Amino acid sequence: MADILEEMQPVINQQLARYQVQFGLYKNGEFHERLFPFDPVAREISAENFAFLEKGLIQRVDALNAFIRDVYGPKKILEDGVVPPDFVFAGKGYLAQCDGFVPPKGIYSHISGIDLVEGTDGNWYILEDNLRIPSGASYPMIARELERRAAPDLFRNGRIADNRDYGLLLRQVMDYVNTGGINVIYTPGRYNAAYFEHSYLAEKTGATLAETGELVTHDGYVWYRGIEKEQKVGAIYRRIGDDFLDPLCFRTDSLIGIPGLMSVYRQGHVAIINAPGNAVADDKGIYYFVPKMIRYYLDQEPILMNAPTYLLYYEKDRRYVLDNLTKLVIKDVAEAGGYGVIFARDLSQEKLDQLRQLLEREPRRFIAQEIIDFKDLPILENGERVMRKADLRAFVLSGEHTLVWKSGLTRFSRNPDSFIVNSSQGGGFKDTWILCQK
Amino acid sequence: MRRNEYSFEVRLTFDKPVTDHTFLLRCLPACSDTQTVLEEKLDLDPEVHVTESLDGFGNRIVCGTITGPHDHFCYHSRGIVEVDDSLRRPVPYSQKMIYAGSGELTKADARLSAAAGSLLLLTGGLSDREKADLLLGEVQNRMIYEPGLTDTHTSAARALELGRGVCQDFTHVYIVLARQIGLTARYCMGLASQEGQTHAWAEVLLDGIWQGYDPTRGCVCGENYVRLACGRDAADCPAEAGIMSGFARQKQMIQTSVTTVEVHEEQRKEEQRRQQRQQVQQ
Repeated sequence: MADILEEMQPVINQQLARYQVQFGLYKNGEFHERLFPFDPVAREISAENFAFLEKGLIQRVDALNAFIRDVYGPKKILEDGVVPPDFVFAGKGYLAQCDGFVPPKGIYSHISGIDLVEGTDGNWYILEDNLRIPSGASYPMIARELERRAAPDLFRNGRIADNRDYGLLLRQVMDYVNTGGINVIYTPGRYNAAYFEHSYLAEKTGATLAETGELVTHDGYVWYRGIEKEQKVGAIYRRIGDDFLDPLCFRTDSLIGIPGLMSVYRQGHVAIINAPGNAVADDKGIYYFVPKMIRYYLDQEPILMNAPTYLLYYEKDRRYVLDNLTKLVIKDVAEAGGYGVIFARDLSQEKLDQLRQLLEREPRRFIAQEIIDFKDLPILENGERVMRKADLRAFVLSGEHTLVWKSGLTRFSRNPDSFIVNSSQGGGFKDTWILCQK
Repeated sequence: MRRNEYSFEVRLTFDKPVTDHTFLLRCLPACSDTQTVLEEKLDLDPEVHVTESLDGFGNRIVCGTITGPHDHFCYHSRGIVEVDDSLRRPVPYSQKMIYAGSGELTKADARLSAAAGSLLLLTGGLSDREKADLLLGEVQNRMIYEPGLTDTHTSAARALELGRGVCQDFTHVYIVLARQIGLTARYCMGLASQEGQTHAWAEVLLDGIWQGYDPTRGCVCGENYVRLACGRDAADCPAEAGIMSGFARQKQMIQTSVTTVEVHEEQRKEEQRRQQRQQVQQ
């Protein structure tokens, strides 16, 4: 029956184009927007497999939230020597402006986008934790909507978990941390590549979609300047980066921020989703320490594994990396979205020597990882099924409880030789079906 | 113990009216182990409702918005603070670590690193206090006081390259050098006697306690300094920041003063008694 979807692929892609389901990417220093091609062969994850993932992801996100709370508060994990302070304070992730304040309900990462891959050995490996403003939930939402329209029978027998609850789940998170007032999704506007997602999520959560200039601060609160009178705002799901959030606190040249927001926030008069300052925990250098965090804060053994990672900062790791360079993938900790990823085996001798020197000169800037042989998934190309590398972005929501959305964004590489599946690198996506227990 | 009467007055004028003016002020004296606020008053013109909060460094923030058109904005903060350096308390780990990284304006470049490198040869075997003392002379040797060449965005690197600047620049250079030779240092903005403008100085962590150093005057700070804010550098704690709508040119006039108030022992006790009673009532 899933064949219907394959036949409908062109129609679904047309619909996605109409809805402007697209994303932006930088290529050769220029910004491009492109459609995100949909593949009709859905990824299926068994109920049993998902139950395992769910446990591991909840554990991981709970530990990450505990870490951020600690770093901006008592800093015990640093004082106890579990994470070297260097990794927290030398990077750009730590924002001193957020120190000494606990956000509403103590939650920092309300929406976490955790990227994983399934290895050929059958294990799941975490690739990275995205705790700032992870995007992409709208893709499987809208894809499912179109799939249901194309093949309604496929979803009637209860075999595939319904993913239409994302809006509700997000709404519950917003309501839980709301300090009194309306829920708002704050977008940089229709020129932003993810504008479709912003407006779509506003529709699905019932939150007000606000643009630059529509949110102001006075008398200790944030206000939405609607058509009628001003309304008090209790929670802001902001879709702009920390840097731009408040020109009186962060980048003074930001024209898309909300002046005075941080002062209101630090009085506890508004919730910001996700909390500013989260980047301190999703840096690739900090990634190395997440299993240690799980043991430290939760006193549990990590359920999900990191990809085997080496920190050049440690002498022993550095020696291993330099001796085994061509076996490894090198990542720049400051970069995201598939940028700054180097497969040393693809480099010429000259480039390899340059890389070696760079690694010795700036050890704090890079991590090295074993290349994981991850499972290929079938995709449809010119009417034929071919196998391509794919990852999974799971969405973990933290409100009253931490939970994992029964869906996710599966991204694949178009290029048969590429291991990089980030949407920024020009791949496609497919729906992720979580199967129900039978 | 010393009692300081302080006054900090700023007058901003716009040649055309502006609207939607959100401002953030660090104009109230810090409450700390050594600094007790006895009296304070803040006047704003135009009058507007403001709220108070603390920023990441624990600085007191006054924030407000003037929505309607206005062609001036004045604030006058004044009062009395008691400074008593004998009350200094050790700084907890979490507070100290905020200053572990460098701020935007206090990143070391090749010149600063080289200067620190040659200093390291001199400071081997010295105590932290001796190092901090020695740095005062170093900054004085490298910097000449000259207003007008630098502004609030000038980095330590640029200031050292110029070899000239004002109190902010002296302090920035001092802080970078201090950090480079292994000390924990922070930037302080506030008021000091004999200055018409806001003043800047550094604090260095010695035996776990903040000690003030004034690199511009080349001396250790006494109790005649009133701290308004601190940060990793000036970018973390400007006295005033604002965003407004309108095409206006802005002029700024600043007046500050700090004078010592004579205190009779009996009067001090009486005030203390009154304060303690008030605290109990609260």
